[in-house]
Amino acid sequence: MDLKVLATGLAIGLGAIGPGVGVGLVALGALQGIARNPEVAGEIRTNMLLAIAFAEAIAIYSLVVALLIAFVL
Amino acid sequence: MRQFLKPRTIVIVLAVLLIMGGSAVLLRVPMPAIVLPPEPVACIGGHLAEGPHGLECEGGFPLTNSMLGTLLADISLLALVFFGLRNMQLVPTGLQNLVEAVIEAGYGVAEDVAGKENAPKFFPLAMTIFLFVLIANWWELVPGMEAFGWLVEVQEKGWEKAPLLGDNIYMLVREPGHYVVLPWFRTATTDLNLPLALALITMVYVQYAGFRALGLGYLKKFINFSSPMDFFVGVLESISEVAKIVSFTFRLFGNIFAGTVLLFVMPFLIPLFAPLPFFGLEVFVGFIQAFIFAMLALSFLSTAVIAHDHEGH
Amino acid sequence: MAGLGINLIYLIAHIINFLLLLWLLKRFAYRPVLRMLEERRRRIEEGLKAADLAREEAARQRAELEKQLEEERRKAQERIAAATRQVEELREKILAEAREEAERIIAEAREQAQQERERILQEARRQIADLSLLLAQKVVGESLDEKKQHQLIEKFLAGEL
Repeated sequence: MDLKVLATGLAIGLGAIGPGVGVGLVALGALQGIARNPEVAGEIRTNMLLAIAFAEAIAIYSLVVALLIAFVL
Repeated sequence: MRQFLKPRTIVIVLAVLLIMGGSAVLLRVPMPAIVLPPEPVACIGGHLAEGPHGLECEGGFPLTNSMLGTLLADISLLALVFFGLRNMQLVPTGLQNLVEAVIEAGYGVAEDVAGKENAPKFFPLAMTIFLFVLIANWWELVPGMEAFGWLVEVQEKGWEKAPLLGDNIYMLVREPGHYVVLPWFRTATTDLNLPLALALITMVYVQYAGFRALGLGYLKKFINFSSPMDFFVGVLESISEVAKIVSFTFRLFGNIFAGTVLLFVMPFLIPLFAPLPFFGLEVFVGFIQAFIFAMLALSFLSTAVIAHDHEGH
Repeated sequence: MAGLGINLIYLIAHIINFLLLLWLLKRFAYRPVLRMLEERRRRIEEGLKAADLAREEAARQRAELEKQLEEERRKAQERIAAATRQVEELREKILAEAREEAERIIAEAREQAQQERERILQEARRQIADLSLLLAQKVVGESLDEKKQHQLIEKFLAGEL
């Protein structure tokens, strides 16, 4: 097996750990907020999606690296 | 729990499992050839020729499969709008109702995020991004979208071809060989050029809106010599503008590309029933990615037009 | 870049495509729909306002009608009251007249009776006096002359005897 394949898997796999935890924390906070006052659920949901998008950006950088390793190098 | 133990339920579950297992053995679907760049499938004013990486366009304007996918999304979106708004009634019915409800809901979100004053300026861009990306993403779900195309000979990692209809129409079978399908249509957002184009347009418009609202004062956000701390923050802001383009591009591309690959790899493993839940997931992902792209564009636009004073952030 | 598939020609093609789509949607979808929504909002507002106005107008008219009706009722009542009063007055008058007439007749009758009585009494006295004189003459045997007799009678009648 090529080392490139290993590098690709590690790049996306390791890089997804942090954002995974981050997205979970964002959802945790949002759900607690919704449980405390459900009347602003819509607003919280929109902001949660935005915050998840920012947390996800970190995973996207590792995706970029993985894609670069797999297809460019 | 009791209802899952009914004989009928058990029989259905066993039948489904049997069909899944049987299909994995009998219906052998070839693994897709995962190619990152879009491939030209036609040439305007030139001709297709075999190059080192599949087909290439020699002279003329190359028409790639992702461009055809883009056109498909364009046409379906415009058709929806055209038939919806062909003769607008004051009391809406059917498709007009749908189109109006979507646009009205989008305008409501734009007003919430950007405020009453800026909403009319930012709404068209955000709404177009949302609608276009949504339709483009959902084309991914149409069966056969990326299954028809030219057969191309490759050196390795190909499959064997078998005659299907007549002499010129073949299908790939799961025997190692030298052929891959070069699809005529490709989900538009799985081509990096499209998300990058959207991200560039959005970020250029963000800068334009900032200059328009704050004049040259907008530059203070990036170049600020009033204190070393502010200078450093300005440098970081400049970098983050570029990073926004990258994350915009790869968020959309990564999610939809991964979804497409998933939808192709699942039938390779188990052809029947197993891909079904993933179609549901992809409906959701396609919507969420379109929504997030438009929402981020809106929120970047509305933060760009707010004066950046020394209030500490 | 080429490995990722980023190609300047494709990029420009996508940018042009998107800008064209943006223009088309802005021109043929957002503007008419937002205008239509505004129009509908305005129409509904107008309709509500018109309905309010109509309701107010109706209420005003009803109040006016009720006022008129009240006025009519009051007038009729007044007229009835006036008529009743007139009738009452007329009755009173007729009654009073009748009573007066009756009283007058009774009084007249009483007067006549009194006079009659007086006259009869007078006559009776005279005759009694004549008779008593005649009796006395016969008793006394001497006749008084005519003149003296009358004097006597008068005296008697005047109650002097």
